[in-house]
Parts: sequence; C-alpha cells; structure tokens
Amino acid sequence: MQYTVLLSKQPDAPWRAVVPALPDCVAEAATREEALARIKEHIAQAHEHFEIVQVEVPLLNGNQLGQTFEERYPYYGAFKDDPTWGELFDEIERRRDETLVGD
Amino acid sequence: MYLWDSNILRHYPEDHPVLKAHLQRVLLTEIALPSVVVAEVLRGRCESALKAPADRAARAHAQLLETHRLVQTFQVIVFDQHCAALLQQLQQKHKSHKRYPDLMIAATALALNHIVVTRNTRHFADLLPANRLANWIDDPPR
Repeated sequence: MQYTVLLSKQPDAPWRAVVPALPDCVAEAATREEALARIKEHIAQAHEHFEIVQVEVPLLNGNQLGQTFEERYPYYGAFKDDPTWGELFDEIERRRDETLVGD
Repeated sequence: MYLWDSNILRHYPEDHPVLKAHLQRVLLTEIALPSVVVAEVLRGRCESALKAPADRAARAHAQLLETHRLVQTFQVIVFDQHCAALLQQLQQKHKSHKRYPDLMIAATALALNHIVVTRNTRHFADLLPANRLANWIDDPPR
C-alpha cells in the first residue's frame, strides 16, 4: 500500500515526517533518511490497528445524487389539472367524519 | 419515518409551495403512507371507476391506474397486529370525539415511533406526543 508522506525541515529542528491520511503517524529524526525509515515503521505498526473503509453518505440538498427535484419526486404536481383529485380527498374527509363516535 | 395523512398526500400531485419546501429537506425514502391512507385513496378511485357513466368511465379507469402508480412511488407502512393492539388501547382511552381512521393512523405511527404529517394536528394532539406530529402545509420549515 502506498502513502503520501510529508517531509519537512525547519532550522534548528529535526526532520519531521507526517502522513496526511493517518493523522496519528508522525516521526522525527536527525536525517531525512532516518525520518523516512521511522515513518515507514509507524505506518507498518499502525496497519495492525486500523482498517480503511469507504462509506457513502446521502447528500441532503436540492440536487440529491445528481437528481433534480422532479426526478426525486416523480408525481409531484402531476395531477394539478385534475379536479377529481381534490374532490376525492373532500370525500375522504367527509367519510372520516362519518366514523366519529361518541359525540 | 414521516407518515403522511391523506390531507398531505392530496397536495403532493397538486403542487404546494410549503410542501415543496419541506420535500427539499428530506428524501422520498424518509416518507411513507399508512395503509389506511392507501385504502382510502384507492377506494375512492375504485368506486369512481365502477360507478362512472359511459362518458366518464374511460377517464375514471385511467385515473385509478395513475393513482395506483403514484401510491407505488411511496413506501407503505402496513397496519399489522402490533398496530391493532395499539388501536384497541387508543379506543379504550379515547371513547369519544375520535374518527376511526385517525385512530388507525395514530396506532400505525405509535407502533414504530413514526411522525404523523397532517393538517389536522388537533385531531391527533391527544393521541401522539407533540414531537411526533408535523404539518407540512400550514407550517413552513424552520
């Protein structure tokens, strides 16, 4: 497995190696080669304690998975020219009222 | 899960700005119809198809099938034995001023702690906790 290692050297400080993908992996040494050797050891040790998995999280915005609103909600607005649709629900309400008990 | 009462489903294919604002914040997979509402809607369309005079029969049958397709785009929460037991408890507790389908929908919601989305929140106010009730037509999203 390949990792990107960031090597840095500040004046009056040791060589420092960090792995951006593994925030806990840091090594410091007097030389560049030694810092690289140590970071490889750290990564190898870390391999015994972690696994990398891919997770997918749905996006909660108006463009869900590249879909438009109309694609997400296929029948939205589809019956707006059908007056019988509203009448159907007036009838449903009326029939519910008929079931009212104990008044 | 957001469990829609019939008075919310009504506005879905009609287009309603407040309902649309709520829909933009959720996924269709978070919304379901109680089987009570499915029964009410299909009963109405079935009766129209079977009773329509000749000049309106073709349209009524087409509307029945279109409505059936619309319903199939939603998940349906079926009224099961657990709901039936909860319905009996609600009936014992609320002996008056209750409409039977409202009690059935409340029992469906209580069975799995769903949120009832309805315009008739007053009908459900004493059946469900306040945080299990929402009105996606009269209350814009916060």
